[in-house]
Amino acid sequence: MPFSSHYPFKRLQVLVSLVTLTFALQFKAKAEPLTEPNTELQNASMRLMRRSYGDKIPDISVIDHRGNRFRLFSDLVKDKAVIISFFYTQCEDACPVTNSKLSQIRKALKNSFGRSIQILSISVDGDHDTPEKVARYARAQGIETSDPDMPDWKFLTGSSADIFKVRETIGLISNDVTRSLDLQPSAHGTVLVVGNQSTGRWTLLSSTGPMEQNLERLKRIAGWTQQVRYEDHRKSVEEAWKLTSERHSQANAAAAAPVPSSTAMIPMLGKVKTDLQGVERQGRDIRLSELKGKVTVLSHLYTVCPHGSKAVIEAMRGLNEEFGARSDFHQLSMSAASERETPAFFRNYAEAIGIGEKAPWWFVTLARPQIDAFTTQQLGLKPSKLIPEAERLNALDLYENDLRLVLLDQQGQVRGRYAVFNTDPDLGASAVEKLRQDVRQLLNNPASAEQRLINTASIRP
Amino acid sequence: MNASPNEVSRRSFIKTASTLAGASVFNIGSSSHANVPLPIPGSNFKGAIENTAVPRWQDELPSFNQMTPLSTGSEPAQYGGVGVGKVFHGVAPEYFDHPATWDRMPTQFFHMRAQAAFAEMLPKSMGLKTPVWTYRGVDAAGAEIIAPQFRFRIGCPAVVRFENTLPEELSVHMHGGHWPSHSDGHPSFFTLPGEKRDYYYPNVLPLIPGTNEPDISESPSTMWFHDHAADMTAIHVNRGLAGSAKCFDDLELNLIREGILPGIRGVSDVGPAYENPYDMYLTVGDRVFTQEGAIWYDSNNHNGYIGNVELVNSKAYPRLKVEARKYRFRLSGGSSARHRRYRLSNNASFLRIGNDSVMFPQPQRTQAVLMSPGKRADIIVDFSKYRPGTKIYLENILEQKGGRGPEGKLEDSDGTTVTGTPEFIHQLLQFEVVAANPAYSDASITDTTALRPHRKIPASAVTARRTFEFQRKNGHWAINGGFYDKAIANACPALGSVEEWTLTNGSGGWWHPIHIHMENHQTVRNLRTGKEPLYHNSFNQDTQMLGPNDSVLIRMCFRTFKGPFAFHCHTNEHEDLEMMFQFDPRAVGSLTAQPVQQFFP
Repeated sequence: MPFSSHYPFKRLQVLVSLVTLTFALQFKAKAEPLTEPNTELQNASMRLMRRSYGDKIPDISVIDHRGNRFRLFSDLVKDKAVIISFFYTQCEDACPVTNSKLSQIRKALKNSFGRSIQILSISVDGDHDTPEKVARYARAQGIETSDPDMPDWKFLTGSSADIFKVRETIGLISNDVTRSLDLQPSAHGTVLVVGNQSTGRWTLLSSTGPMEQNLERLKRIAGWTQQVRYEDHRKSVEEAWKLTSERHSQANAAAAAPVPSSTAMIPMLGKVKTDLQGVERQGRDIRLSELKGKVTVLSHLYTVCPHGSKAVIEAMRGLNEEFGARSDFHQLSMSAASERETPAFFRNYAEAIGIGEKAPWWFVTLARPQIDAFTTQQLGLKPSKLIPEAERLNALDLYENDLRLVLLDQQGQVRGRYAVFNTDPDLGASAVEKLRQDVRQLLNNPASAEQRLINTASIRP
Repeated sequence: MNASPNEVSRRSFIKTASTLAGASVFNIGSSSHANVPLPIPGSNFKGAIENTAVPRWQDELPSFNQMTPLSTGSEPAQYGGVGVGKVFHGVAPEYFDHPATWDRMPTQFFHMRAQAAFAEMLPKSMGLKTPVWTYRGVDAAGAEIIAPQFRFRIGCPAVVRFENTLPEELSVHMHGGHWPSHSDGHPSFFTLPGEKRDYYYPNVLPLIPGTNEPDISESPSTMWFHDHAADMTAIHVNRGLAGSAKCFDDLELNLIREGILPGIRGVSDVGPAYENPYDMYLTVGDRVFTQEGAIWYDSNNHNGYIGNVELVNSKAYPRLKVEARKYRFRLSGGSSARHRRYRLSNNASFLRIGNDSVMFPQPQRTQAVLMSPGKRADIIVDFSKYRPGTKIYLENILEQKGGRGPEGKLEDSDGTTVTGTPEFIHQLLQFEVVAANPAYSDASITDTTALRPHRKIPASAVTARRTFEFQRKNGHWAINGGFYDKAIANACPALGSVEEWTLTNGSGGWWHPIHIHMENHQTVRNLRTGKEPLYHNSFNQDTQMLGPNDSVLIRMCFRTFKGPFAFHCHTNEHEDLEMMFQFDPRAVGSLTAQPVQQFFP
């Protein structure tokens, strides 16, 4: 059921007129704080986005081409953006076409999604397609890559009966007159089930459809943020404006300027409920709770990390330059204690990147389980993953971390997670810019701490 | 009512009916069949509100409300310029560059937005609020117009500033009119969340070829608007993004002024309100509701959504008090996949005066109207012969068990008598007759009244022929084996030319209502049966019903506006799953597919 039973529909005879009224008022004066009934309407509105099958994919047991076992829904679909295709190793017509298209799609999505989308190719003939056969098949597709930003691609198999249930849930096997056609193994060889369980948007694409349009639709449907969803479309709107610019040169100047997103509205994504303890670079024990009342930016810090950390450090330094003199601003970089990364190491490191002893920036070392628990449960970052030995880029490159910067407001509420590291430097730069704007906003207007973005529920930065 | 007396009454009714009406053989007047549970086909959803649990005939039929312009003649201050400034998606180039003849009357400026709201779709006594996505007009005072209805006037251009306050991309298609490509509600010409688009509706008629005379045979009367965003149309329309529109021209206003069509003289023929209590718009749709009253959209049914609760103007099983006089009803098929054959519960005949947007040359006396999703029927029902207190129902007698299509055949003996599944009757709306208000005289329309002249497109005018086969392919819906591609114009007629298209249903038992945007088409012949179209299908239409294995030859002009425009199956799930192509009228036509000539993202 998309509208689960705890969804509180009360009789709101009088309130409904209020709801409409407050909702209407809100468009006139967006800075008005939202009232309770409004939140109810917004929640209802967000539910209207959801397509139900994305929430109901059976949690069957599957095994991937690397031999790892997963629960299909809870490990691979829940809270994720996915492209699901169906194949069987004996398939000679549709599947090879789909695989080659998927390989193109995967490369093209690297910039806008990175590893925040994954491709799941599920065998419809699980009883014959043993894990070994699937592993061989996957190798033949040449899907292994050392590129840490390439979307993950898993070939999965499991029991035929279980997978049948999956196809039924998505509606690829209908209860209708098409059932006999649907039962043929290659019936849906070109169908791509595209969606984002977190936002609830799903659609079906044909892998043989026009590639450019498929990519646009994929981003639009499965994208985490409005920015990713509509960047292609916005680009074409701007191009269209350029074409007509001669006629309306003045008007165009006004329109082509990016519409400033309402800076007063910074989403509230969660609240840090537990404290964080660690050792600072001066050897002092510190607690996060000491920073109460300050706007704080947190990040992972792995000085050995060969790819992303450079962008993280650059972004943090930029913040220090702009806000480092303020007493109500603080920065915190977390690192898992190791032989190399000790407080003493960070003393030198900070000096080397030009951060003085007095700077409001803690370099904190603590045990890995603590970091993991804190960043995933309190900050909402993804858990760190141990990188398989074969894919390590150097001997110290052990963990893959969620490198997003997290912004906490004066009350310790999570106000944003910013992907300042992106293989497309423009996207990374725009995340840094957004972060600076939000910090400025929180520092200069502490009242905005109470405000909530209309479509927060659908956005996962 | 228990079973046995009902059986008796049914039999006696059948007897009476066969004597009186001759053609009807079904259980006329029996209300027992109104309350049979309707199945929710192909669904694994348990716990829906059964249609039998929804109280009937309790709430009044909601009516549409006039969209009032912010200003007329000069741009309203709120706008800050048409198509510029904060209007991210701009306005049609035709707004700045058009013949002076388009500005016969001063332009009206409107404001409409899409937003979330709670609606009372189920009867009040159930106490449930349904969250919906809906269109709201905004009037000059800033007040909201719920259930907006545009009342357009041929010769009077309109600009609608559309604002999207929902979290998903939208596109407003004004179904049944003749619009510039930018403002047509093209599936890829979105209004993004938080953005605006100025829709320009010039309300002009195409010209009779070779002249400067407007072709009044194309003048639309009954339109509706709904969301048309690619991939999202079905779910968005299901969520409530639909509204209605009427359009008037000199000819139709004269018919009202002279008391021929129902209306109040001196009121109903005067704009911009054209207020008319005797001309009701009836949009019929179906939904599945959860126990909490929320709409349940069956997203895993890619064959076509069928709801078990029927709604008229977004209200389940409403009632309407009608005076003992003639009424004009504009029936509109607002469903995704459900086809209906409408009749009155007493099987009285009525006059049908139009199909889709356009009125007939002369009324057609009929007992039933068959309509697919997206189609409209303009009918005149005469209640003057009934005593006050009489209750009559609007019924659907076409059973449908799945998205594939209704049970039974598209064609019946002459298209005007009742056919359907004998066991299946579903009542939708209760009419309760009250005494007529003597202040207003009844409409004088008869079986032979001259309405809108028809201009037949001659065979000699045809310059190109194309064939489109609608089929199922690899679990998707395809046309000629291909899918919707926003960059490709699949048909490129020369602007102003006439073409013949063969629309073939190649997908077995499926029904596909094919909607062609931009201009009406005329049915020439059904190639499967070899038959000429029945009276009501022989004039201008914008949605061509294709029954199982049908192949229909149509003729169409491509006038006034450069493309691209879409044509597609109006079973919304089929359209979202790619059963959609583009045509792109241009200066020099082409028989092969070409890149689209313009794009208004």
